[in-house]
Amino acid sequence: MTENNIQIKLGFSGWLRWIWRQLTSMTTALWLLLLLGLAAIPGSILPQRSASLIRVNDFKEANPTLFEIYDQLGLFEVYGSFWFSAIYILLMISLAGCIVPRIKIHAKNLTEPIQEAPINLVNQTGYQAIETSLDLAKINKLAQKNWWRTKISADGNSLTIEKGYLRESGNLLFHIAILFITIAVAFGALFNYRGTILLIEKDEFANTVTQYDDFRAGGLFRVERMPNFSFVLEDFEVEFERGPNQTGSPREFIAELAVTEPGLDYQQTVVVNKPLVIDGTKAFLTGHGYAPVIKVTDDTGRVVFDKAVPFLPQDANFTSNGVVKIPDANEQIGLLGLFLPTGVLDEELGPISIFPDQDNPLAFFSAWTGDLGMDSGIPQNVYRLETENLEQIGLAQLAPGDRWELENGYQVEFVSVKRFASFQIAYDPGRIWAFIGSILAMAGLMFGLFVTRRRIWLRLEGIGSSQNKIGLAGLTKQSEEQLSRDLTWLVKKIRESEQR
Amino acid sequence: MTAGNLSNLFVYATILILLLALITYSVALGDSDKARKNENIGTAFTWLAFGILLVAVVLRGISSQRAPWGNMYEFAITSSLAILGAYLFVSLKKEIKYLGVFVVLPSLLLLGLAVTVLYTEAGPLVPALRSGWLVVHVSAAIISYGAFSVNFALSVLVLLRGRFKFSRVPATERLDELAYRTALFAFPIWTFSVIAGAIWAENAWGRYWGWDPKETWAFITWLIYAAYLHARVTRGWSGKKAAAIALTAYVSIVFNFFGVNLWITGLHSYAGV
Repeated sequence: MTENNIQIKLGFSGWLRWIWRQLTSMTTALWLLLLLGLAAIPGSILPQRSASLIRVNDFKEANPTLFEIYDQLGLFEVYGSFWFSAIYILLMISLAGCIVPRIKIHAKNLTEPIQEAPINLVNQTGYQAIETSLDLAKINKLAQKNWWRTKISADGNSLTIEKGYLRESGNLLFHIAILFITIAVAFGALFNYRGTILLIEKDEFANTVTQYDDFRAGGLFRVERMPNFSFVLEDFEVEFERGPNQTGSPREFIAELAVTEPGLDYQQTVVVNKPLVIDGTKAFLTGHGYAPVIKVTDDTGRVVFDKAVPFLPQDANFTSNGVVKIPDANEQIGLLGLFLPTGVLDEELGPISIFPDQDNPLAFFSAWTGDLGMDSGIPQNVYRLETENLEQIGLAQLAPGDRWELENGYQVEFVSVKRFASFQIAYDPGRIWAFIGSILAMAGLMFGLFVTRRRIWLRLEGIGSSQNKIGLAGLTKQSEEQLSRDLTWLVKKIRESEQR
Repeated sequence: MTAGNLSNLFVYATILILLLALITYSVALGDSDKARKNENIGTAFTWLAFGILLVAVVLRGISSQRAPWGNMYEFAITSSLAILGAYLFVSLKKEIKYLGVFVVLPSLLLLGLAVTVLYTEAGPLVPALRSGWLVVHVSAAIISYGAFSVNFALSVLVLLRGRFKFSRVPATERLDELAYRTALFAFPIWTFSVIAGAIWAENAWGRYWGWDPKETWAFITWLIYAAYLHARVTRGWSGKKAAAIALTAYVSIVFNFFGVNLWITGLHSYAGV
């Protein structure tokens, strides 16, 4: 019957309160921490859309059925999925619910007078009695001068001194900072933008959305907020290891930029780890490759194509693939190319590059004719040529300067090789706040973990003609070593002031 | 003989001495009569191994003219040094020589893998790693790995204690307390390493956090140790349960080192293997 009564009394708000208590309990927080860790795992194993769309598509092509199932579960966007968000939001609520009452208690502890010493100190930790000429009032001053909170009892016979409130302050600061970082990250994600560009030597980039190869922005991003600047890739230098150790490892990437801001022109060198910074937007050097210059003339001798074409590197030695599409000629022509900076013909692997620098630049082309499908209106990948409906009209190996006559009278010239550099351009207004949050979290963590909250009691146990007998003992939940150090310190201080 | 070759020679010498340390420590663990004497011999060997490995790491740094943690081999030998260092440091203040086997074994395994699978000749850094943050970010990670390894050894003992008859292994509460203290030391350093990594990532890649596999696993490790520290102050979660969490956390560290470096492609692909 009593149980029934309790059930009825619980009611709706009672249940809410029960759920709230469960959610904010330490055990729940513990499970949520572990669960969040578990939920983060699939994103490290499966390709993620945010990191590499190409690898997600590769997965789709390799396992179409599995892809569908995984995709439904959000496994290719783990860190934006509802279940991942649900866990961390629950964790943040649990955290807030845990620290808000603790802030109240801590504030109360800081403002309320501290408790008086127990009657008998003999059974307390570190008890000792000393004979001293000082009275409690003097010791009180001594302690206050050294940053202890103190309280003399109403009868004047005992003194309590306390230190280490920074422990709880630090603890709370750490947890608030974690909440703060989470909010800063979310804030940044709403207003940020980032994109990648690929720039061939001497080409210019202007900071507008259309010039990006790939552009992502947060939900509240405004185009007008993008800073107005442009830059030309004046020069791009690359150096690779030529010694016997780690041959081919990159040693130096240097991009020389001519930057234009409204009313301002300047030269700037950008290397890995040293971005170009304009008005909170940063341009980072993230990669590079080769762009063979290709010139095509039709059967009448008219130049139908003359451009540097970026070829995407496929391996560490920059074996690179690229495509040339010429839709405007009398006959539509497509070229599939393979560029090798240091080309060799391997008996097993075929044509490959064995060094990333241009020691023996070679290109292999296959020429195709037919409908390239570029007038169909369907957006096309510029790095891909669908050869299913095309007819192959030739195959050639070319070095820079070589010309190649196709059977339809067209001429392909491999003019020279330029380099390209890729940049990631990013703006995130949340990052400075996330940084401040991290510093606060770090500081809070140090205080919260390493400060010892301790209390020392002193009680007048006997009054002599010139000497008082004072008992000392202490209390701590953390480091008793710290407490005994403090007791020793206090006795030493008392002895020092006696001599003055 | 070059500094690099000398460094390799010293690494092999360390392996030999650690084998001796492992044997004497193992004998001490099983036999209570001469346990103290054998533990002391094992510890002497461990000190010797630490000294020689320290020279090996320094020589490696000299031969490549930079901080000796630019690839997986260097990271492994420096981590091995940190594990031994953390153990020896604690042993100066607390009686933990019973832990010898559980510390020497992982550092020995790590060194063994370093010389067999991970070995790379000394050389300059790839441009992506050329930054002052390399020293700050990676050294913090290595120091915390050392301390977390001692925590791991203590947690293993908490779990094995009831099952085997070890001589001179203290009560669970004592092991638990020491384990907690080592994690307390390591956790802020690990936190710092993650933050330093984020600042570097912001400078190098244009974002402070991008869920790169290495970042993700560093975060997972952080979460599990955070859970471990909370478990210790939650009623009914100390002892074996806490030790199980500590073990899980350590597994995530090991996976982050081997699994992420060797099997998963990401931005932190500097293994050089």
